[in-house]
Amino acid sequence: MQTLNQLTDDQLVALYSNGNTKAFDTLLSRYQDKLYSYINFVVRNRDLADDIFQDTFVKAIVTLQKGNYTSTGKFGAWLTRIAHNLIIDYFRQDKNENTISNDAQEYDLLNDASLAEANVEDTMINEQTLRDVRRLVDALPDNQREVVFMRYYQDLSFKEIADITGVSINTALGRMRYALINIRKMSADNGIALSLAV
Amino acid sequence: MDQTSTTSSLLSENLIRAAVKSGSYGQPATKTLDFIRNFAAQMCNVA
Repeated sequence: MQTLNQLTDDQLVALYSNGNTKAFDTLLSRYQDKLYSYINFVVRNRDLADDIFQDTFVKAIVTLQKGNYTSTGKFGAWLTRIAHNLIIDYFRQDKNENTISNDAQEYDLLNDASLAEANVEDTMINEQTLRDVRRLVDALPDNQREVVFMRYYQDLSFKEIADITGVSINTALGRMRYALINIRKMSADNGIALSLAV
Repeated sequence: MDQTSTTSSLLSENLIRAAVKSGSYGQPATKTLDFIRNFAAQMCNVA
């Protein structure tokens, strides 16, 4: 007999729709870390990430129980799209209520003292390099950061990224291209080597 | 693009991937997970 963990997402969705709450718990366990990581990476605030994570699953649960979910074998991408839309809604609302630009925050990140220290440190270890690169990724514009995370952390295809973010594949590819250009430019400006010691 | 720049480009892409993968982005709070599980069970009973 198959355990719930061995079932596909769509099989678990079908079981949950028929009243099996353990099937839902399995889906939640399967996606909670990846989805939360995505949300927290984008919003950079744990409390806000928790709220959006919760709202994402509430929307998903309501949709599943109404029988409005169409099985496509892409349950994780569907959850990410719900979260993406909630994040967009939040920032749209926040922008209307708060006129402070995030330019200052990006400036601060690039002028972080540890980056400057890294620049003169001849014995930079790999872990420090990885931290520095994460800072560079963190300093990217939001839509580029999001694509970098979806591609490199979630291992999504550009087709999936395009579907989730509601843009064309070319736009998703373009955002990644600009992200890489920006990272390389920032690394050059800050004297950070984009290679690991071997 | 010559061979050297292609190799360099791939190397830095791999480094960026490694950096993003090695980051820690936290986990949902236990109370959030409990709320979601309870809500899922309640919605099951309603349907």
